[in-house]
Formats: sequence, C-alpha cells, structure tokens
Amino acid sequence: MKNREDVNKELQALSPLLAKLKEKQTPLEVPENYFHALPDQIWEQIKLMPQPERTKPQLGWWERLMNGASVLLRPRIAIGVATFAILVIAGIFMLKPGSDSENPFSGLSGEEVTAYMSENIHEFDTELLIKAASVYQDWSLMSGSEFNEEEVDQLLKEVLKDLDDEILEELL
Amino acid sequence: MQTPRTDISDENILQLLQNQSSAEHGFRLLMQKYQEQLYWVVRRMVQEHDDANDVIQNCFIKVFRSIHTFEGKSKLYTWLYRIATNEAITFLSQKKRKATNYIEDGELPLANQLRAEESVDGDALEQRLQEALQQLPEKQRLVFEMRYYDETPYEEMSELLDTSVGALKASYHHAVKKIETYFRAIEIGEL
Repeated sequence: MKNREDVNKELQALSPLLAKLKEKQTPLEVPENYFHALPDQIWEQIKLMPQPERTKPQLGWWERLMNGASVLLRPRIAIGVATFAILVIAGIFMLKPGSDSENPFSGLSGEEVTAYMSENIHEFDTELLIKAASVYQDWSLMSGSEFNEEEVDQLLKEVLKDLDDEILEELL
Repeated sequence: MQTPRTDISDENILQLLQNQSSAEHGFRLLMQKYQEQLYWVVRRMVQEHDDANDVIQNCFIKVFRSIHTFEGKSKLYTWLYRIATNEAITFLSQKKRKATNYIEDGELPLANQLRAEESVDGDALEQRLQEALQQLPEKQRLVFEMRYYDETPYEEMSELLDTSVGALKASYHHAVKKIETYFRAIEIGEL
C-alpha cells in the first residue's frame, strides 16, 4: 500500500496528466484459473512439436575461402597435397619434351626427382604446387563430409592464428 | 501488481531447462515465475484476452525452443520481455494487415467497429498510451511498465533488471516526460 502511494505521488509530481490517466484506468480481467491452467496448455503443445533440428548455417564467401584454406593448410592434407604435387610436377618435368639442358631433372629417375623435391620442398613456389595439385584434385571432396564442424572450426582458428597479414592479403 | 511467483533463481531454472530430463520442471518454474508479468505486458498491448492468450502461448513456446540461445548477456526477464513484446508487435501487424484486407474486400474491420463504438474514455486513452509506449526505447518502456502498471518498487526492479536504482529512476522519469510530450502533441490534454 505504501508502495502504491509512493508510485502515485511520484507520478503526480512528474506528470499530473499521466497521474490522471492512471486513475481512469479500467482494470482488465482474466478468466478464473487462467494462470493455473496456462503452463499445462503450453506444455501439451510443446510435447506435440518435433524437436528442433540444428541446421548447418549457410557459409559466406569468407568462411568458404577460409575452410578451403584451413583444409589445405592442415598438416596431414598439406603433406598429402605436397607429395601429390611433387609427383605431378616431377611427372611433368620428366615427360616434358625439350632439350636435356632445359630440364634440370634430365638423367634422373622418377624416384630421384621425387626425393629431391621432398627434401627441397621449401624452395618450390607454393602457388605452383597448389596449381599442380588442383589440376587433379577436386577440393570440394576435401571440404566435404569427412571433416566435422568441430575439426574445421579448430583448424580455422589455428590457421588464422598462424597466418600473417601478407598471406591474408594474398588470399583475399 | 504482478511480482515473480517463485523464489527459485533464474540460474537454477536455466540449468533445469538445459537438461532434457528436467526441462519440463524447469519450464513450469519459468512460467510460474514470469507468466503473469509477461501476460500483462502483452495484454496491455493487444487489449483482448483471447489475443493475449494466443500471443503468450506462442511466446513461451518460442522461449522453450530457443532457451539454448540465451547467452546471459542480459537478465532473463529482459530477454523474455523482448520476446513477448516482439510477438505482440508481430501479432498486431498481422491483425492490421488482415484489417486492411477486409477493407479491400469491402468489409468493415472488427477493430474499426470496436473503435467506432468506444467512447473517448479509459480504453481509448489506454490505446493512446500503448501507442506512446511503442515510441520509447525498450529499456525505458520496460521500466515504465513495471513502475506505472505493476507498481514495482525500484529496489525489486533493480534486482530483476540488474540496473542501479538511480538509473531506473532516470529511465522512468524520461519515459514519463516523453509520453506526456506525445500526449500533448496529439492534443489529448482534456482528461
């Protein structure tokens, strides 16, 4: 009761117009036992509803790009891709027509070329390796269902942490 | 005055709701605690009990289905209040759209019939007050409703909304002044 008086006094001081309006208010009514029955009514509806499915959100271009990058830069995949690329490049060099002097691998066996490239992988242009690999690889296969969301998220975090600004600029 | 009907903390309710085996219990406690307050917020907006009943049912179903998205950045009541008012606004827009369609079909909308019958008394003024409330920022509207309609003491409000008493008083005062200005602007000064 004291609180009601306080509220009304406060309102009267602030706005006599609204205080008057409050006095004129006609109280609204609800059916008897309405609030008692309401939780049951709502719960019955909830029970009949199918469990909400957690749909996979649609990825934007940045997420798709980074997913691709994260998959590509994942150590296991990266080694696989690099190895595959080495084989491709080695094959290209081996089969490339032209003079022996133009071909630095002339006279070497396929195994020797592969071994050389594996040891000196850092000297090869990354872009070239990726391009070579992408000729034969369908990236969508790698970014598909074999990686779950958690793995991709984790990878993305790691990749983002390791990427420096220059690489990011190149990616963009 | 509608005050929360249970002493159980929001944290406990949320914990119960997160667990499938206790979700029903948690939901019933949530309703017990907040259903009346939210019902009256909605009822004042939509006026009719049947409409308020539809809205509040949708509101709580939505709350149950999306409780996992509540991040605790605001107090639970603030989050519930937002869902309830959004549901009521959606309901009113749909009703308005239906009424427009009736006009196009040559029928007199129910809302207009009711309006034509009502005298310029409490109901009409209440309707204006609700219009004025919709012009306020959410927090001011919430504070105004709790103080003006529910007559909630500032201390209790402070706990419920996690806001200082001083800030609540300021919000209420601002809200009252803005509503008064709104009323003056539409020249409903003769009460």
